[in-house]
Amino acid sequence: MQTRKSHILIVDDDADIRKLTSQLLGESGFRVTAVSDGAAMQRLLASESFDLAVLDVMLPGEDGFALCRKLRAVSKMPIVMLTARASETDRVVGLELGADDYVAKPFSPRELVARVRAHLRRTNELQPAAPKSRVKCLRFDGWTIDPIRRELRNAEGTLVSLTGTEFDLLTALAERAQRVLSRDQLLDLVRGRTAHPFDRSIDVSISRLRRKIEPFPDEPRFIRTVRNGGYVFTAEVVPLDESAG
Amino acid sequence: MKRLWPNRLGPQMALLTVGLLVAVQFVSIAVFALMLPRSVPAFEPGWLVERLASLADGAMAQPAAARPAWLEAQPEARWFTFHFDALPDLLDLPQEAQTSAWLTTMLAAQTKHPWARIDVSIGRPRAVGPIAPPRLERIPPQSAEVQPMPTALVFFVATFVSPDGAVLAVRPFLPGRSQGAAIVLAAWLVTFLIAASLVGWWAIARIAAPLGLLARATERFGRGMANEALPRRGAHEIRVIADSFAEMRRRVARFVGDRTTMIAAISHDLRTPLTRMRLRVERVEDEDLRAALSRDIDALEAIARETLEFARIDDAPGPPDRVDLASLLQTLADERADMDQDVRCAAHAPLVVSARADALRRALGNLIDNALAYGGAARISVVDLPDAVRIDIDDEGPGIPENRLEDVFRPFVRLEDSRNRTTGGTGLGLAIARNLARAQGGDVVLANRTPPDGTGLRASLTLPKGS
Repeated sequence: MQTRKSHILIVDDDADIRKLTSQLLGESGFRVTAVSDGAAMQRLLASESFDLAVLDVMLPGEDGFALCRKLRAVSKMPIVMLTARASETDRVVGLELGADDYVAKPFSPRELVARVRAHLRRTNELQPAAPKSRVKCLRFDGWTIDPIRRELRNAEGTLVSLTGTEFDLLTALAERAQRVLSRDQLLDLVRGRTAHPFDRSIDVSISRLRRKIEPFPDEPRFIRTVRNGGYVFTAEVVPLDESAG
Repeated sequence: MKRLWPNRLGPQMALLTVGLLVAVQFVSIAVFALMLPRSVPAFEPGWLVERLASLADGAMAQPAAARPAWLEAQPEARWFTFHFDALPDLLDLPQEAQTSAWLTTMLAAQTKHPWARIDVSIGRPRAVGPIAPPRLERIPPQSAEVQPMPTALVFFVATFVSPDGAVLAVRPFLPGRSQGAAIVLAAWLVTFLIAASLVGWWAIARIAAPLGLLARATERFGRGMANEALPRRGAHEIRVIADSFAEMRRRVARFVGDRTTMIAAISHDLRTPLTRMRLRVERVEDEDLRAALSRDIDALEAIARETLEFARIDDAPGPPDRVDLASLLQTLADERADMDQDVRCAAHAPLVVSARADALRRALGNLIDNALAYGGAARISVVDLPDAVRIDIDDEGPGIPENRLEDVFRPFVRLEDSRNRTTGGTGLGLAIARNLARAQGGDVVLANRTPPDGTGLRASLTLPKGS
């Protein structure tokens, strides 16, 4: 599938982490270039092209958020932010600035690799379905999905809780409404974020999801099962540019 | 006006009370003076004889038709009532025969008109209402011969009969009892009482209001809720308390803030070395060693994460949200059941609570994890109370000795027999859960279940039902 190695840009001011992360991603089959700050990144961008960027938030001089904004202005490559702060606000700020993912330090090396892979696969395979101009919210039948805050609200505005897998499944289905997605495709779309050895099968998560959002879970209106095919999201989905909350 | 009102609470209350008393007295006096019958004057006998003689003579000098008007025009007229025909019987006996005779004699001597008859009766007025009964004070007799002399006359009727038959009867003016005076008086007093009570109630409430605000602010601060502005109003004492409370709050906030910043900084700075360790441990060839190191890193990471979480609890509280409790509990249970933990959730009916979703999720997650770590299982149920929602998380462990139930909420406190790290947990989970619940006006309590309910520990998180 891959004719050339994907080229990954790392910006982190900690020399050891830079070296170790480069090694990790290098051994996972990527070409890696790592720099320590924004100025070096700008110089590099003039001469090289990248498929994905991993940015540390806390940087001397311009911080990771500023770099993310600059990068997003000139490129559609996936951006993964690394941060030592686990606060929800930081995550939302990063994602609203156009980052695709947000990994809290100390991260598990396997998880970082999994997420990098997932984002690269998504840009390669499902590009048309996931337009890079970020949609803030998705609406269907009164429900609102906020992919950045990872929140689902019903018609009354009440927060309905989902597990990570359920949320990723719902988002993947709603982003590709009216398209039949096979279990394998769904697994691919979901696995990038929540790679978990104990994850239940797609079917279990779908049935839990139905219990939470379908008025009659036994006669689903939103998520239909397609025989021998997979699942299809049949409700009409309206993307909202402005955050609805 | 502002300077007349005392600054201190004591004088304020005192002034108010005295002011009200004075007002009550003043109004009572005014009502009595305006409404009650005037008291009947007492007449000095010499003056009375002279006046009566001159009035009677003067009247006779007028034509018969002009007499009433003439009499009413005289300055003395306000003391008397005049009748021009035979007087109805106004007196109750006993009559003062001796004094009557004396007065009659004196009058006859004073008057110039040739009266056919002069008669003076003295006694008790009949049915004239609320005046004091006549009391004739006498100079004590100096000897048996001397006639006792009245010093004052209260009620009498002097009748003059002219030879032509014209009658002039004079008696003291007796103000009659005004109709309904008692009702009016009562109505006035009741009205004034209500008005005074309302004013008093309003004024005391106003004086006490800043104290109430202060009490609420103190109470809310004590419960660790957001620092609100303190009222700087009211009496001097209240302002002094408010100021010293504000100062204390600043000190506490600064102290807590310094500690929190320090703890947060330490926990935060651990993350970079932990990240390096995570990356480096991947290079360890020996699988057993790698697994052991990974576990150590996990433990260190948990301590750093939970300490940071504990220190940052008051960060950006955020407004409460509408949260569906059933799906939240189901999600928390599913996430753990997926990791082969023994969790069951018996909350299916949608129940919306007003809470900070992430805080509620963490608090409940900590309680469930605690039940799993120490009790081997977690059974989640919801009780819908009139003014609160209670979430019970039961485990099937040995429980906690009754005298240690509160201790385990203190940070880093773990019971001795579970102090090994293999059970997981840092000793912060319950403290974090309780702080998060209390920050939303709720609470977390622990109780040992007794046999009808099974055995084990029950952790209950209550959330008040918001508006």
